[in-house]
Amino acid sequence: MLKLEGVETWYGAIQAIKGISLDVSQGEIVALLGANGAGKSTTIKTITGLLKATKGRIEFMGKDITEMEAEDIAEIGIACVPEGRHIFPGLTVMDNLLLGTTPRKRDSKGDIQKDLDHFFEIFPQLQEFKESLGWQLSGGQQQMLAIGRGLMSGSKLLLMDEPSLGLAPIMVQEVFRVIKEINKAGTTILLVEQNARMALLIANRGFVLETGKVMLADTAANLLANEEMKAHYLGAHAHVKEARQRRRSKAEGR
Amino acid sequence: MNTSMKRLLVPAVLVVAVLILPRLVTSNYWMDLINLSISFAVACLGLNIVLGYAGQLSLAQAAFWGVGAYSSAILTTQFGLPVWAGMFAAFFVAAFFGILLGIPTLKLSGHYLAMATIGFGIILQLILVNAIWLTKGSDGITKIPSPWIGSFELKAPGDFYYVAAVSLILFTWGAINLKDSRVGRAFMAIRENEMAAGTSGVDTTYYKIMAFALSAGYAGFGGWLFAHSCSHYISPDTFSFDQSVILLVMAVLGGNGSAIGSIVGATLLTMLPEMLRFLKDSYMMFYAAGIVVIMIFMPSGIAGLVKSMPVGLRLRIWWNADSTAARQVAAAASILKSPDAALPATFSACLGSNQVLLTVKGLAKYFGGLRAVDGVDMEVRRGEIQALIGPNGSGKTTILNMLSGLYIPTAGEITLEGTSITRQKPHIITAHGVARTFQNIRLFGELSVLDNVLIGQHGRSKASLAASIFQPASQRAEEAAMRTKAMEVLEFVGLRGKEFSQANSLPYGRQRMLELARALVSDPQLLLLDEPAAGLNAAETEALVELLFQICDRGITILLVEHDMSLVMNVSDHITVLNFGKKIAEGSAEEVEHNQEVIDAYLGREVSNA
Repeated sequence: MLKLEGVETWYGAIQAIKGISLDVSQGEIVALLGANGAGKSTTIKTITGLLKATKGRIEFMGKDITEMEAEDIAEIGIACVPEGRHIFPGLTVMDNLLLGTTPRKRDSKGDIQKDLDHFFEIFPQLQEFKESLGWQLSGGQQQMLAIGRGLMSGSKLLLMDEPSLGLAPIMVQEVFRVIKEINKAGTTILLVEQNARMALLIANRGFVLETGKVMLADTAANLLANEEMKAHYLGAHAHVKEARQRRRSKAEGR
Repeated sequence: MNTSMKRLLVPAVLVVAVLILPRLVTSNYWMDLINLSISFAVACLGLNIVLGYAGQLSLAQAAFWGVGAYSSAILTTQFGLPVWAGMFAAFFVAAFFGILLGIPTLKLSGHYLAMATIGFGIILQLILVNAIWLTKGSDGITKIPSPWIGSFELKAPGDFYYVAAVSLILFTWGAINLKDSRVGRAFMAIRENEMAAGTSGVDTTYYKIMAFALSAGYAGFGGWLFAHSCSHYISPDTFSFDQSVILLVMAVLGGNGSAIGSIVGATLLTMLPEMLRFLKDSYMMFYAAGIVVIMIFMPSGIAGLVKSMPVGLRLRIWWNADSTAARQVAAAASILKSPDAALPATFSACLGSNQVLLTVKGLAKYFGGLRAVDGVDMEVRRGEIQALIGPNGSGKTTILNMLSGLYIPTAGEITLEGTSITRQKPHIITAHGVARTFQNIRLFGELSVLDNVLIGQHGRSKASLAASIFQPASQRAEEAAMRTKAMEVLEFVGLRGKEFSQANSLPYGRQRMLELARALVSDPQLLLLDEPAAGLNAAETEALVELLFQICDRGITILLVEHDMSLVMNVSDHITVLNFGKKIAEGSAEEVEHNQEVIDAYLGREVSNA
């Protein structure tokens, strides 16, 4: 469905991604993992057309979209839930959601209303804030709204950049449940996450980026079992526990 | 080329250029224009302080320029004051009006501020027109005297030029000095992020008024240069809103934030219309079109363009190498090389002394009908790491905002070591030893990593406005000490070697570390961290845990809001859980982890791959 071949992107004077090739098939959840600065968000921005690839090729449903503008890419069916929410703070929750439907020019009001109802089913918390302004929501609610806005586009492919950022554990579980749900309903998902373990638990496959290159590409199950992954991204928190032990014993020795 | 030669060479070239310019320009007409350019340039330097440094848009600059011109003109023509004394009057009367403008506009920002300054400028102009007994109204003041040196009158434009040129050099020197000083950094902190400036210890009210006053003073001095040169005649219509806009265009065109840019912009916009006169009737049209073209192709002004060109870059590197800042950083770095000089581990203070550091009683904050925080009691004991957790929207950040003075509580008391800090402003609370980081990183993004950490020391340093401009030995010693300390803290959070990088060019995780460094450098007793692990991956989170323990070992108490349970459950000595603005549980990690109410409201159960 989506295919990147040797894509390179510059962020000002810095080459943020140095030849990335990856692919996402229809109906999949694909996780894009890696440390800060590895190039995950840049990859997302390049796919959505906010940044332009200087080299390589991006293909969506057999069509070359490398040179396309962001608004045109949104129209052919790629939606994005950006990192850091980026909701419209001065607009109501409802208007934020309706703005998400901009690329759906042919859909009837009824269809849109159906999706709205579905959204409030998934996130009942936001029901009572329908007419609140974006900035009045708490961080977690804003994140849900951003996901909702992405969903409302009715796109075939949804790119999600760290949807669990700043959410309470129970909400993180909720978000991942929702991602699975919308995937089952037919939306293909490319998911960027710091929470690698959770992401791999729901994903089919994963790509691990390091300094702008794909270092590992495998099925989610294999990645979860990979020793290197465990050490770097999955976090057994062995060190944390160790540090805590040290601190405890120091305190007792006092 | 070594440092001292470089530092001497540039001023020497400048002096020679200043001295020979009147020999090259023989026409009085052009000499007058040069003097006028300098008058504008000084006013622009002032605008650059309030707009470029402090980020406050002022459209009353021409009015202050007029106040300066009139003050000196009135005192010298009606009261017989010497012209040289009029110079001080021009500066200080205008600065006084700057304070008057600053006070009512404190609560305004953006276009509202701009509108208020327009109104203020128009009022000042109306006063000039209508206070006929003082200003002679729209007739204006004629026969304004020239300055004298002994028995020599500096009447010819070529002679007055020397007064103007020396003034311009001094005022430019002051503006440039200011940029790299305690006060200048406070201005820039306000521009970059007013909220973070407050919690870093900058009294934003005070410094905003100061920026307005200083800016108006510069404009007033420019007015003095104008009144006593050229036509020796002033009238109110010169000091109009239109003129304020032209001054703004000069500053922005030259390069916002750059002192040299202001001078270039002022000179260009004064000379250009004259050079275009051969176009006859249409010259103003070409002039306006030229400005539009420049703004399109140089969005950051002429200074911005030069800066981004390879030549400009090399020039900057050449000039900045061996600068005071670079030398002090290098000196600090060499001290750090010996491992013994690294941070002392004062473990004694860590892990609970049972002594209460912070007490919160009945704390509440309502936003309209929404009870964000609804009567919370809690205690933080010295030396502990305490966590505040709860669902999104349960009021955690609101509590941190009240503790750091950003919100005024609706009800309740906050006591730090027995002193109430309930309704104090952010910078006062910072001075009491409370520092914080923000959920959505609030760095001074356009400033360097080093500057960010230096601003964190604002409350712990003293340099006044005068010291910041004139930079006496005491100020330089303080700067050196601040830089040494900044380097220590940067080393501690792992940002050594990045000190001259721009803050917002750092990757996300590094930005979090920088924010932490900025908080730590203020020597807090209590550190408030709002989601420090958000956006960090597992390995980075582990490094953060290590760092938190080290901070605690230095005797700093930590109160953190965080959603990453692997972090919270492992580092916290004590956990408070909120839901809907109320405390629902409290205790050790083990107690909280197994509390059914907490599980239902917050922790949930992990998803499985069904």
